[in-house]
This record gives sequence, C-alpha cells and structure tokens, in this order.
Amino acid sequence: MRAVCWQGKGDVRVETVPDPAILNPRDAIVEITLTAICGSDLHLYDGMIPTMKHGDILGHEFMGKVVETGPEVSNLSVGDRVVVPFTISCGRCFYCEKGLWSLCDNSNPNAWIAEDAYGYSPAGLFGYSHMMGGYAGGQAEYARVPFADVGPVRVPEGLSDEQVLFLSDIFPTGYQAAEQTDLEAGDTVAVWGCGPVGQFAIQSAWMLGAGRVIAIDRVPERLELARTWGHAETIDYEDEESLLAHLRDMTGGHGPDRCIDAVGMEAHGTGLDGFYDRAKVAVKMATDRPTALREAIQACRKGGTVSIPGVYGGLLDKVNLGAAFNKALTLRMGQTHMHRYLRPLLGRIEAGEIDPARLITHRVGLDEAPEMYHTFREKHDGCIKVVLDPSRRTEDRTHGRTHATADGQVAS
Amino acid sequence: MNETATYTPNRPSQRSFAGRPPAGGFADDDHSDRENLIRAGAAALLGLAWRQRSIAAFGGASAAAIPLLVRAATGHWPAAGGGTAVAGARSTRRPISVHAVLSVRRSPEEVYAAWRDLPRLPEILRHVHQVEDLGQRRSRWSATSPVGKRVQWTAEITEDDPGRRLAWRSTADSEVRHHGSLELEPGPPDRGTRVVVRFEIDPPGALAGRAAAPLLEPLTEREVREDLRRFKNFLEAGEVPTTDGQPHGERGMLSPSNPF
Repeated sequence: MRAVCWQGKGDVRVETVPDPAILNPRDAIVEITLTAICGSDLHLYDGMIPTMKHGDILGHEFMGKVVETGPEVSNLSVGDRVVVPFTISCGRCFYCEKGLWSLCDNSNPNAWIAEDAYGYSPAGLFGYSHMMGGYAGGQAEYARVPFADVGPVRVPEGLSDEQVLFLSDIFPTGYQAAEQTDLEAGDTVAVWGCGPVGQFAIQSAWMLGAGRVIAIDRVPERLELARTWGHAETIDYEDEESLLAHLRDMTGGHGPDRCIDAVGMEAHGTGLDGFYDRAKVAVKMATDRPTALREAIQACRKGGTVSIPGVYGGLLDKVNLGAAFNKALTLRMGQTHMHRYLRPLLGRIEAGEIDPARLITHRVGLDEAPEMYHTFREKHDGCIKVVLDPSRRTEDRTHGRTHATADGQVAS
Repeated sequence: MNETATYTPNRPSQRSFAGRPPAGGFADDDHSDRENLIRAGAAALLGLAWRQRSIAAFGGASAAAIPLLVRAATGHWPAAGGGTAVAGARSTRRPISVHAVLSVRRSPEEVYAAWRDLPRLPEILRHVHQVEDLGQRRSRWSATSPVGKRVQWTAEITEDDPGRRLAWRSTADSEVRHHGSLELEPGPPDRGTRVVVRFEIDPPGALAGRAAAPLLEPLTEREVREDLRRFKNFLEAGEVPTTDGQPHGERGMLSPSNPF
C-alpha cells in the first residue's frame, strides 16, 4: 500500500509499504476512505517531537471500512463504516474505566520511554512518535486499529465522510477544550488560535452556553472563518501588550472568563518573547514555545480558567505562573478523552447542529501529501484544513517518488 | 556546565577496598558537583566520539569516555591497568538486585493463578521462550538474558501461599543462579492488586560478570519492570500492546539526524 512516511525534518514522502496485518486478537484492519493532516502533524514535520524514526507512517485522523477483524472483536463486521479515534484505549484499565481514555495504561508498548520523560505514560497514539507507542498512522490506504472493540464508532448512512471525519480528533479536541473551561452560561470565552481545533472550540463554546466568544489569530482567512462560521468577535493580534489591552477593554475591564490555548508548542511569538523562545529552543534549553499560553494566563480574569488542548511535549521556560497563582486560575489540559465524545458529537452532526466539512479548504490524494504539509505549515493558499483521499490517483509526479500510472500500477 | 572536568584516573585517594569509601571519605569535599562534571564529561566525550568521521578518532574519544562511564555508573574509577574491572571487586561477589511494583486490576487470586499458569508465560514475558512444568514444584525455563545470551535454568518453588506470596529459587545446576518472590496485596477497590516482584541474580561468568553487575542492574531492573508491565497489560486488556510486524517506510542509516 502507499503511505505517508516521515523522513526527517521537513521531509515527508509517499512510499510503498506492506499492508498492515492483524497482530493482536482485539485488532481490526480498516481500509481508509478519508484522512487528514493535523496541526500537530506539523510539530512532527518541523522536527519538534523526539523519538521519530525515518520511515514512520504518519497520520492520526482517519476513517474507512472495516476489512478484517481479530478473533476478539465481535462488535464490528467487515464492511462497517467507522471513524477511528486517534487515542488508543483498552477500555478495561483504571483510567479507561474512569473515562480518562487518553491516559490508558495498556496501549503504549513503549510506555517506559514516556515514563522516563513524564513520570507515567499516557495512552498510545496513532502516528505520533515512538514515545507514544510508535503505531503506524492513518495517512495511508489501510491501518491496523488496536482495541477495535473499544475505539472505532460506526457511522450511519446519510452522512458523508467529510461530515464525520473530524470526529477522529479535532472536533472532540475542540469540544473538550471548551468543556474543560467549566464555563457558566453567559461567560466570555477567548480562544487563541483559529486553526481547526480553535474553530471547533469556538463552535463548542456556543454549544456549551457561552455568552460571547472572542477569537484571536493573525491569518485573515482563519479570522474570517471564525467570524462567518464561528460567529466570534475576532482580534487580529499584533503584539501582546495591545492584545491584552484590547481584551481588557472588550470585557469591561476584567478580562475574559475562560481562555483556550489552541495554539500549543509552536506559537508564532512576536517580539522579544518570541525571539527568546526560539533562541532557547535552538540551543535546546527549552523545547516548547508557549507564547499563547503566557498571553492566556495574563489575559484571563481573576478566578478564571485556562484550558489547554495543546499540544505540548517538553519543557517551557519563563511561564508566568506568578500571574496564574495570584489570580487563582484553574489550568486544565490533556489529550482528548475521545471515547467520551464520539457518540454525543456524532449525534450533534446527525441532528444538523454543526457541519464540520465547512473547515475543509483542500482536498487532494495521498500523493499530494508532501506538498500539502508544506502548504499547511506555511498557511499558503488560504489553507485551513487538508483532507486526503487515498483512492484519488494522480497521473504524473515529479521528484522520482512513487506514483500510480494510468492503469493503477505502482511505479517510481 | 561548560567547565571541562580535569581528572586523573586512579588517584590513590579515591581507590577503595571491598566497595567501601576510604575511611576518611574522598579527598574532595564537594561530591555531587564532581559527579555531575564526570557525567557531563562522559556525555561530552561520547558526543564528540559520535561526531567523529574517522574510526580512529571515534575509538579514541570513546575510549577516553569509558573510565568516566564506569566512574559514573559504579562510583569507582577503573582499576590500574585499564579495563572495566571494578576496584576492590576481587574480594566480593555482588548479585544483581531488582524489584518492580505495579497495580493490576484483578483480584490477588486471579493474578496468582496467571503467574502459576507456567506454559502461558512465554506469551506474556518478552524474554522467556519456554516454561516446562516438571511437577513437584519444579519447572524448566529457557530465556534470553538482558545482554542477548540464551540461558536456561530450573526453578523450584520454596514458598507458596496462594493469592499472597510465591517464592522460588534456581536449582544448583542452573546456568543463572537466582531467587525471587512475588507478593500480592489487595489495593484500594478501584486499583486491584498491588504486585511486588523481587529478584536477586548472580550474574554468570567470572570477573566480567562481577564487574558488570552494577552496570547491568539498571538494564535488568528495566527488563523486569517491563515484563511485569506486560503481565499487567495481559491480565487487564487481554493482550500485550505491540507494533512488531507493522508496516513502515524506508528506515535509512542510523545517524545523528536519525538516531532513534
């Protein structure tokens, strides 16, 4: 099969690899009909996440048809159309049973690596470094799905792939981010980052009863989408000082009640702060650049909540914990507890409350993945969200990499 | 952080007997700073070795790093005459002691029963290939040691308190002499059973084995902990998570930019 493989910083390639097989009794194999590139894939693309190996298959947002099931999978049948959550959860450990699905004890075969880094290991993830399990990802034609009796959710007829694909990650992630603000009806919610997760956080904040949503970004088309789809008030930020003043003025002098950092570890960072972060990352004395987090902490009203869908991987420097402490903020964070949200959010899509397909700006085949990573990263061409259809074939390719000829053969 | 450590291996004031520090303590007062410099020095030399393009330079830098590594790992400088024999090891055998603790979300009886189901253990434990129940509390084990060597031993149960405690030791004819125990304690209702595994292993071989004991200990403890984790995964989730056999693209050559 063809698969998008990591080959170092700034280098992803579509390669021909063996098809996946059932390895454990609770596995299933899914033939992928639609998949996407995530903002967090860009951290892999930029070489920010350690423990990647050349040849690792990327991708954690995918859906398709079940083509094979292991002997312990009885809830799925061949032919079922499913969306697969990006976190892998056994369903039977302390954490899964408490609904803390992204903290599963039994899904990371490399738990010892994460333990060295973090103390204890979270759940394994598809396509997101060996520290997170080293699982082959879903930017491919097929994927092996562990614990298939727990994860994948069946999709009803009448909903297109584009409408439901984002249940695999970004919709539940934006929703959990909004839910973790513990917002009270009428609250003002400020969202840093109008990328896909931020857009879903905006949508979800309204669903959960926000009174006002303020969206912060620099990219014109993303701010536009936040206004037209998200019905948010937007701020095109220039620098931190004016942003904080702006938020203060917009909220009658006390700051937003709830703040969501949907930017994470590769914040753009203008000014001296951003320069400092980039310098520290370059000499490896810090690993993450938390500009948005600092601003969110600074801007939040006293006693408010900062919700962090992330992604963060390593060490921050100069984070204003003093501000958080003295304003008695609550910080909530973590990878998404996907299994809590899959069915409820599918229900909202079915009920017509939200059309996630509005997010998609680019639709290509697998072979275009390498150039789309670049486009997505640079935010060129109005790019907000890229979906990849493995059944789309291109007739010609440059750079001597694998491609499909007109009669469907693989050549290079 | 940027100061280079100057050191002279085998300073008489630091040599010790039978693994104990000299009576007056070490010559330098500030012990922990020196330890950090030693570790930094070893790391710097290894980093330097890694970046060398010529084998000779790599060898030289690595060799220079070895005394630092031994010192960092064992607390002793290598003995006069080079090599990695631990000073003072002539007169003592040092067994490898490991222990691992995990909670398993099953009752103590279920955990005990799984541990006693010997022929199934190779499905769960990474390094064990085969276990044969010989009857009369004895079993024959084949495994791969942490350093990749095939080993076999016969184990005999010395204590058996079902659901609470199991203890065993290798018989006199075994390649790897060791003894171990398993203790089970009910945890809080949500947490299942607290499992404590202890092993003491006499490393095989003569001087190399004795010297290697402190270097092998973290490796062996990790292996035991990982096997206990696999045991937990198996009991809770019904399987051990794996990616062995999954597809991947071109791996390329191992290099500083592809180190993992």
